[in-house]
Amino acid sequence: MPLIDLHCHYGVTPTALAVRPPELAEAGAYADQFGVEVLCFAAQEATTDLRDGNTHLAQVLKSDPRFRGWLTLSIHQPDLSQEVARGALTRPLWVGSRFEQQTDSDAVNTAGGFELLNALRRYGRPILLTVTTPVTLHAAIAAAREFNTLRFIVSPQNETLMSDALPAIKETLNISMLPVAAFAERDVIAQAVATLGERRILWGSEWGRFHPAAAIGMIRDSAITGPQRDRIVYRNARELVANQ
Amino acid sequence: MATFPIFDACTFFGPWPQHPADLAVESLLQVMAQNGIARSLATATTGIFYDYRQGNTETLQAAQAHPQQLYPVATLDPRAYPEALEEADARAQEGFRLFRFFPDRQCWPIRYAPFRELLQKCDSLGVPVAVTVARPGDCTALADEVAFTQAPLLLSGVTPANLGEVLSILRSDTKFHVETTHLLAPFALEKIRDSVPQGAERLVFASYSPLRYLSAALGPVLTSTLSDEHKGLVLGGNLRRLMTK
Repeated sequence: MPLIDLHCHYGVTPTALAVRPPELAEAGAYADQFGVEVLCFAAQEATTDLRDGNTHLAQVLKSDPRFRGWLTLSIHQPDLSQEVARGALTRPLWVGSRFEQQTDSDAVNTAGGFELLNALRRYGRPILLTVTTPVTLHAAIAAAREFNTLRFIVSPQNETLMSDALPAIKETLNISMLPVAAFAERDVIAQAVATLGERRILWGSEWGRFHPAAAIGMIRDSAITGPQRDRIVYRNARELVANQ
Repeated sequence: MATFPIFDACTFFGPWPQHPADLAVESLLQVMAQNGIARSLATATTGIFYDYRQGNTETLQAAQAHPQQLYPVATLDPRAYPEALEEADARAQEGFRLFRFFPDRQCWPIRYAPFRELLQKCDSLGVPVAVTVARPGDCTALADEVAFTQAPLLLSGVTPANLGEVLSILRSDTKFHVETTHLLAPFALEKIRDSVPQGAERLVFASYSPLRYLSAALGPVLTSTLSDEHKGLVLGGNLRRLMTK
């Protein structure tokens, strides 16, 4: 079964400081072992240094033709974010942009956040939003409704949000769900398929932050059909990546 | 699939208030069979969220109904002091060989006089305990509370975020062991193997099944760079040793 891993991490992640961050060569080995065709990385460094973090990621992405990137942007630095986006989001190396909503103060539905999202419309690339609280979940939904020509991908960062997000995003058709295995209770994938349909669910391992075998185990154990599984781990992402 | 029998240190059955999962005993048994789990230590969720005595009774009944697959693990709730001390005595007499504590779910602190007394009771009974140490500082506080105990102690709910703290505690005393459930950071198992005395002998496989995906817990162990001998210890050997001490 071919895979496209839509969410990997490059650099030191704050939740895993006690272990060494894996090397990019190990990402290649992981791709070889599990048959991953494309790996999409986000730069952890860019959450504190937008310019250098994304630049460093761009350099390493060129080391393997399977590597693609999420351009990390910040609503707190709208001018710099727009400048960084101008230099990157017209290139096929980048899948789209990504915003970390670590706390309520990072919610993207502020005036500054909407201004930045409005500017990103010209690139037509998907926007990946992490959600950590009910406030950030609702911010993601509000943003998706405001910019309904853009495609949003929501990645809940705890168990409760994962379940709560499903009914909340059901009616907002331009949102897809990207579950994280470390926060996934059984059988949230089957619930997501029943609630959203398999075309709105994506798969990522959070490689660099979590062991990818956990995400593979999650999808393996899900009570879904083979074609549904193939759509979630491969075909949906293939369409997303191929559209650029 | 592993060639050695796999023992799962932490499984649940019963209602889970925040998640509409199917946690029936039959679901647990089915998941075990699908994944080649030889035996699971099981706890009724009623004991965590409602009444520990009722939960322990349900656990015993389930284990008696499925003696080849399930091994009963009791919960003790220090908020029910002093009756919890009598419950510990009674359940040890009934054959429970592990007691679990859930301070995070039940919202009591690790530094808590009734808990300290219960730990002392468990130690005098020679029964190992498992304690959830999900919050930063919990593991440090627990180590202070159990400085006097001898019985093995299983650290549960350890995540990559508090791994550094747990490594420090594991180094301080060989009675501490750690469940693998949430140790999903890359190379976390290898880190414990390499930086803790007898590290591979201190890791215990636990899935939280059927609440969580069993393969999501099993995969990182099976695909780790641990040797086959060490995988055998993590997936059952260490737990068997703890339960027979």
